[in-house]
Amino acid sequence: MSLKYSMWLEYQIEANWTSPVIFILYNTLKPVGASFLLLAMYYVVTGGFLGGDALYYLYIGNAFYMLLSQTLFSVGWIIHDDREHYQTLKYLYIAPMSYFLYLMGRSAMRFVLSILPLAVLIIIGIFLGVPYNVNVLLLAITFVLGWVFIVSAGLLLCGVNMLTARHGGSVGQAFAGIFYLLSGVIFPLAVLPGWAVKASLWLPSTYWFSLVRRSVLGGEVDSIMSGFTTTEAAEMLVVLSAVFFFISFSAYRLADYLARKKGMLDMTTTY
Amino acid sequence: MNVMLNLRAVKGRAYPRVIGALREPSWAFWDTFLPILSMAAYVYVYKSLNAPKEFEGFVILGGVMTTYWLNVLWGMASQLYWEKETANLQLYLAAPMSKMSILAGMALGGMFATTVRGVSIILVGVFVFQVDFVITNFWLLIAIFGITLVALYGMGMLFASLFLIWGREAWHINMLLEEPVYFLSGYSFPVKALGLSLSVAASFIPFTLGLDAMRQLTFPSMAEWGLLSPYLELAILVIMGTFLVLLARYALHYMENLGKERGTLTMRWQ
Repeated sequence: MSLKYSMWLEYQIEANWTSPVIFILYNTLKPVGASFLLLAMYYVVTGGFLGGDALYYLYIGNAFYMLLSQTLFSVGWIIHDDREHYQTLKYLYIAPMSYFLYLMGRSAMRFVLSILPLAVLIIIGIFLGVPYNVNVLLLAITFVLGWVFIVSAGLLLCGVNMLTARHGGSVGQAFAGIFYLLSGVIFPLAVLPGWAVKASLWLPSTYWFSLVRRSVLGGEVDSIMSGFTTTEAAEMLVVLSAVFFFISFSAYRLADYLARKKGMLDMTTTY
Repeated sequence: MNVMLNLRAVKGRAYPRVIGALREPSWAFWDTFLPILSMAAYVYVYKSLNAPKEFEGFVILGGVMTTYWLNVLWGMASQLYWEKETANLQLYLAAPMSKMSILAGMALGGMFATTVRGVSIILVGVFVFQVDFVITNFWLLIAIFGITLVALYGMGMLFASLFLIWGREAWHINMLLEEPVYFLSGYSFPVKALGLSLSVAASFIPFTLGLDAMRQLTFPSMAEWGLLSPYLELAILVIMGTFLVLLARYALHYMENLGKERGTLTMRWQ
């Protein structure tokens, strides 16, 4: 029940401030703006929008990155929002439910809400001539595995936020930058320095984005990631996601313990 | 007007931000280190496309200016809304100083951390990405940077008054003013690439012109990508900055009265 109602709550918080049409527009404009930014960069260098693996690579990577970015943006804000804005964190803690499940539910709804702008970007991709070759089964599996990894990242972020002050409003988005840079989202991994490539191969997101390209474009053009078969990439994603979830969950539990011990559950920082 | 009182108000509102930044150093990680990673990703996009090195510099300068834009959005525009939500707003309104002093204090306090982040981005550009900044007119560059900040923070003050009467819409509008504005203002590419009509429309965002002028003054070899002459852009920014600050002063007064009439100044969680 906590899961169900926290999903409902997330939807209300995100969407009930306006009409459904405005919400859909709002939910879509942000990711579309980010994609157009990349298209403009591609245009100023190449002088065109069509025909090029690099364009398809960055366009699809960026479109799916929006799932990660928007979910983390929202999840990264939950603790500060509950603690300092609505000042309900302490009430949620003493309610007969699991706060962990509550966080899971809210992140799940945000993930679902982010699928709509993704669909819009996929449609825009048709006009850009993106050569879609969709493997539906692989895409479905990729979605599920991606959600596990993204929620794990969100959980880690929530743990950190329990112990830190509210300084800005976009910590989740900033946190997502780690994956944007190191996961081969918008450029091939080979462009990165050697040490960064090694680090990226320890991130589940690297394999997730590789699976995204394989399931949507029908293949992998990244010279490093094409060294893995689809099965190997999926196996790596499962293993690394499990490890990442364990680390994130442990960090969250530790932060939860420390926040209670230090009396930080009702902290307000009015900087 | 009691000048000393207002200066004390500016200092008083800037104080918690500076002290907060020193007391809770976690902001350095969240607000400085991590955002640089996203910016670095754009630099690597240009590297992967074998673009001229100057485009990497364009991203670096864009990264610096978007830092101030984010501070304007989250540290200025939405701040009065946030103060309302945390029940500080009525204290500000009851105190005898100008409300503009409160906003100026927020701006100055916020600029501390923002400037640290901006300087960090420049250092990363120079030492990590080996970007060469060839400054052709130092004083003009400084003037454009300073005037752009005045215009930007003037816009932030204007938004702050508008956000005062809104509820959660304010929060979501803030989010909407990130990526779409990055695109329109040419954060990571020369804005001229958008074409004349879209570039002119984008010029209503102060950092579009400021960024374009600064790029012309630091990367002279890419002057063909400049939208207007830097002197003309400076003149437009001066007019824009003056207009925005005056408009913000009027809007703040108007919205405060409107809020009092509607009884929304102390209404929370709407």
